[in-house]
Amino acid sequence: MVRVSASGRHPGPGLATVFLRCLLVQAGWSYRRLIGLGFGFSVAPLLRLRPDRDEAGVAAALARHTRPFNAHPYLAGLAVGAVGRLEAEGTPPERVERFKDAVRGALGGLGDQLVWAAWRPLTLLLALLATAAGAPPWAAVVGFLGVYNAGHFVLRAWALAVGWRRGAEVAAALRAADLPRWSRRLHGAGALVLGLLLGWIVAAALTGARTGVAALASGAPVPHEPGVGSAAWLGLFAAGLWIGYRRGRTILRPAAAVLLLVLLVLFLAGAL
Amino acid sequence: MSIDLVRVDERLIHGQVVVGWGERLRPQRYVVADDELAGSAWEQELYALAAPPDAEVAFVPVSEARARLAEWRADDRVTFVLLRSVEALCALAEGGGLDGLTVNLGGLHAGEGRREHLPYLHLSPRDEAALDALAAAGVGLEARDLPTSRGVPWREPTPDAGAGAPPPPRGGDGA
Repeated sequence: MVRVSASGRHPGPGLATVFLRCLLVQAGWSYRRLIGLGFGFSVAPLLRLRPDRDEAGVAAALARHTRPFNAHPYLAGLAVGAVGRLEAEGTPPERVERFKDAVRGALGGLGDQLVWAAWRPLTLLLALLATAAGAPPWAAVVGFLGVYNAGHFVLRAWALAVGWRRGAEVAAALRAADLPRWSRRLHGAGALVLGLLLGWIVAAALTGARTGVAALASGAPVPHEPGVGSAAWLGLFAAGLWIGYRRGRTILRPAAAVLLLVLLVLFLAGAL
Repeated sequence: MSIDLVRVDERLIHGQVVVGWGERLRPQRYVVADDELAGSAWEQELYALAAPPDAEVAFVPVSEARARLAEWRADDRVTFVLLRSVEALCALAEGGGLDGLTVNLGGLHAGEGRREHLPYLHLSPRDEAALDALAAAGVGLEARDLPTSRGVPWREPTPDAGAGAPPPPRGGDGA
């Protein structure tokens, strides 16, 4: 367990305690305070490291930190750690509040892009792909929960550790981590898995394959002879990859609309 | 006209602006008009992290933003202008630079002395009077947190709102 020590003078509680509290950062969410209550609950152990060691000072700081605040819940630990560090260093309250105001937007935007728009869809699609490949549904669910939660636990632990270590200097750490690049990569991977999944559903419907991915993995014969149709599918696949690579996210919505239209046509035609 | 969004939101650059409005309007430039932030490099660094990497982010005093409104409106690049408070909006609107635009009231949250108008819009009596005066002066005002939400026009001013309300505060951003 990492021990909290702001300057070597304060033994303090372990960051593990703060980490566990951060898991509940959204528990007290409300429109008035957003995650403010959870933020105060999470940072409370670190407030005891304030240089004055004064109960009234700790209480006043706790009251300040339960005011409205918002951030992505998985990255909120970065603000918790950094604010704990600033408080432990005796930073004036006004500056701490300005730091919170400045960092919340980045933590919200980066977290939304990384988790809600990239990591969660990717892990969900992988679970669906596993099901298509013949995995039992319970295994796909357990696998999804395991992989998804492993990712967010790692992210939460990283965020808290960086916040505590860097304090007000977290901007440099966030820039170095380049979370937008991770988001783009995960987003691209998700789009690829989505394409594979939908492509296989369509192909299986058209060719009568049982479970296409499973058949492919087991080396079972392809349901129809390679020919013009296969070449067309390969061509479409390559074109899709190229367009996706060139246009990135701007093509996602039109592509999704086209795919839904194709699926609807197949469904209406009785092919599904 | 390429100022596509003038928004009052105390969070300035954040998810609703970047993802909600940004993905709809695709801004190439975010201008934060705020006197305090314009002189604070460490805060600018943190705020700028929330913006897309390929967008320009500028932090300028409100007076400079007011002087450059015409330039940005004539520019082809899509620009968002973000303000922290109603007070800053009033300072920006001086001289008629916002004529023809509808200002977005996007996020002023609960605080001491503020009354709730919408879940994301809480205003002090001073803010309300200032908005009444702006509306009377012809500035379009609409409360709307996200482009997918229903826009709520600011209340119609009473006939003497412009004359009877206190004049809009001048010169600061009220951060």
